[in-house]
Order: sequence, then structure tokens, then C-alpha cells
Amino acid sequence: MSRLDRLQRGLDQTLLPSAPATRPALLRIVNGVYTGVYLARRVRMFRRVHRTDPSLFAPVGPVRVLRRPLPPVVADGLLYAGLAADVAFTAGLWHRVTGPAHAALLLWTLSYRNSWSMVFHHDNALVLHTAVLGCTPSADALSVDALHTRAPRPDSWRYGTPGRVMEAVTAASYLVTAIAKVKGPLGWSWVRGESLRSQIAADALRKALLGEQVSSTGTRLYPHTRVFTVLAAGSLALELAAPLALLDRRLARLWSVGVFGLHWGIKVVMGIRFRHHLTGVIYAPSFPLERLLPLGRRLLRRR
Amino acid sequence: MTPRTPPPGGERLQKALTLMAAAGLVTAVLVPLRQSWRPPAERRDGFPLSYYPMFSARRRRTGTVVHLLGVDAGGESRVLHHRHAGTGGMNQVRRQMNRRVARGGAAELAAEAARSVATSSRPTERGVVEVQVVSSTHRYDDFFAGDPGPLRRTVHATATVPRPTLPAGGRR
Repeated sequence: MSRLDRLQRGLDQTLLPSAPATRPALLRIVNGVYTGVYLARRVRMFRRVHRTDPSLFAPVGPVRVLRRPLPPVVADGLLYAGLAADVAFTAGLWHRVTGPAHAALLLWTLSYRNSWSMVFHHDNALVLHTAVLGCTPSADALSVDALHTRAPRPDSWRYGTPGRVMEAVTAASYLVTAIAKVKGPLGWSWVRGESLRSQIAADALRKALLGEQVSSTGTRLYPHTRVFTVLAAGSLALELAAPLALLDRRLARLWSVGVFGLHWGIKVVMGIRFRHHLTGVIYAPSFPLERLLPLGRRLLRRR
Repeated sequence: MTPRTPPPGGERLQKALTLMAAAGLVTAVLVPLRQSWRPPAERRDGFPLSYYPMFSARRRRTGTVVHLLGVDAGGESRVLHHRHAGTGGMNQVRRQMNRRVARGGAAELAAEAARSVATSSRPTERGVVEVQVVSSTHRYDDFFAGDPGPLRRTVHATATVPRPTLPAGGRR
């Protein structure tokens, strides 16, 4: 085997690893169920947002094509179409059509929701992950489509790639947040924790004056500046290390557990719930979910 | 992203196309980084591709928040929940209130909030007779030391809560 072949093989295994068809299928189901619950629980709120004062309309993302808001009924219709597409996507029904349609409708629905003066960044990864799963063969197993074909699906790079791309997208977004911190007015001294402490204080003050519950942990920790140095240094290190986690599978899992803990820490200290992160759905691509299938089957047989 | 049916002998091409598409997506996520090199006034956030402006914002020792106050018949004031000012969650309503006040819409906002408070069944809000739209500035150190009083407060607008007038001897 030539050096070039070895290099190509190494790159293949790192960038385009082989996986069973069930891996992206489980990611599709987990992502679809999460999105369905997320949207369904907010239908009333979304409908109210669609009826907000048009003068507050500040379009972001693809919604920038609009100069003024859509009639609320049309915006509602797109929300319901998005919910229907999510059901089809999760079930793996006509995936070639419903996969990209669901990705496009979710991008539109959440962009439209964010076009009223506030961008909710915690939905960024959900939209991007859904785009990856919607446009790749993630319904070749555990799907309605797969019931019709019944053809054997050997392990392939086509099934390993979606999860790998999702991991890369997640890592890139964490790297962007790290660079935003060190490119800010404090530079590398952001790591001292003063900025993080002020950010937590600003959030708590807003909550108190806008009638929300203030985290008692954040209030108790506020006088202890060294705690914020540790928290700032830890979070920045994890964010900067995100691309390194792509080089090794075990490192990726360790990193995922670390940032999962970081978001739970944010919830305790600031009372902010990044649901996509707190549920672990965003980190699922780093884990071989298909290994849970035999366990699930055994449990089903026992019943 | 990945073509589903590989053309004969075209797997290498397909892998190359997949890698290009993946690289394009990751690059798109990284592109908003250029905002961090722009002057703050020219930065523009987006969705789902963002430069996460909350992390590069300049932080001070004091914070100013536009919010609602409810005043009862005895002149006592209390913070009102943001749902009386709009919908979409706390941060969205907060931004919307900032924009409305900056554009001179505080009186309209106060009137809307007063109408919302009038329909509230919360015991703490039943006695509210007037709604104020205010900007309160607090020093964080004082606030976390247990001092709830603002450093300064500006009242932008007030509105009377429209309670139905009851006939003599009537009960609410």
C-alpha cells in the first residue's frame, strides 16, 4: 500500500467513517422527536408572536427576503406545515422529499420566530443538524421508507458521515463563541471571569425587573469572584478544544460530557435552559446510539 | 448532501462532493466570525449563523433595564411581569420594550400593559391602579448585596388600569 493510499485511508476513517444505517436513523428519530415536542409545546406562543406589532419586525436569516411580516394566517400555516413535515421526517416517510422540506420549514419557522427583535442562538445547532439529517440518507433504516425496500443495508461511509458533519458543525459553533469572547473588549483577560460575572449579574437583574425567577445559586456565588475565574477558564478551554475533539472518538465523547456539564452549570447558576443542550440531543452524534438497539429489542421482548 | 445512488465507479467523486458540502457548511458556521473584527456599530447578527454578540458585549458595573411597574392605590409600586408588555419570552419582550421606548412608543406600551393588567386574575396584580413604563439603573454590587433600590429611575409613561366601574352596592 502506497503512502498516498495510506493517507487517503486514514482521512477516510477520520472524515468519512463507516457506520450502520441505524446510526443516522436514530439521530433522525431523536432530532425529530425533540423538534416535534419543542414546536408543539410552543404553538400558542408562536401564533401570538405572528401577531406582534409589525413595527417590531426585524427579519433575520432567510426571512430577510421579506420587507414586512407575513399575514398571521400564512405564518401559522407554515408552522403547521413544519409540524407535519417533522412527523413525516421522524417516521422516515418519503424522506427524499420530507427530509429537505422539514429542514427548510424548520429554518423558516425558527427564523421567523427570531425576527421580532431577539435572536435565540440556542436553536442554531438544531436547524443545522436537521439540515444535515434531512439531506442525507438518514431514513434507510428504522423508517416507513425502509419497510418498503427491505434491501440489505451494509455499513457505509454514507451512514457515518451525517453524524460526523453534525459534530463538526457543533464544534465550529463552540469555536465561534470562544473567539467572540477573546475578540471582545477584554481580550484574553475574559478568562479572569469579570465579564462572565457581569453577564450573570445583568441576566439576574433583567429577570428580577421583568418578573422572572432569579437563580439563587447565581446570587449566592456573585461575591466570590474566583469562582467566576474558574467557570470562565473552564468554559473557554472547552470551547477552544471543540475542534480537537473531532480528531478522536473517545476525546469527542469526553468533550461532549464536559460541555453537557457546562450547560447544566449555566442552568444552575443563571437559570437559563438551553434545552437542545440540556437534553443532550445536540451531543448525540458523538455516541454510537445504534448499540442501544439490541437493549431496546430485549426490553420489548420481555413485555 | 450525499447523492443516494452512487454512479458506477463514482464513489471517489461522491466522497469528494460530500466532503466539499460538509466543508461548505462548516465554513458557513465560521463565516460570522468576521463580525468580531468589525466596529461594534457595524456588526450584524444572523440566524442560524451567528457571531454570538452577547459574549463580546462591553460589560459595566451598572445595568439599565426598561420594565413595567404597577402602582397600587396606596402609592406602593411593584415589578410587573413582562407578559403584560408582549409575547415571545423574556428576552424578546425586553428587546421589544427597548425599541418601543426608544421610538417614542412608551405611552402606547403603558396603555397596552394597563389593559393587560386589568384582565389579570393574580392577587398581587388586582390592586394595581396604574402602570408605569420605567428605565431603572442598578449597581450590580448593591443589587446582589440585597439593595433592591435603583441608582436612578426614569418614568417614560404612565397609564391608569381600566377597571370596570361597579354599580353602588355591587360586588366584584
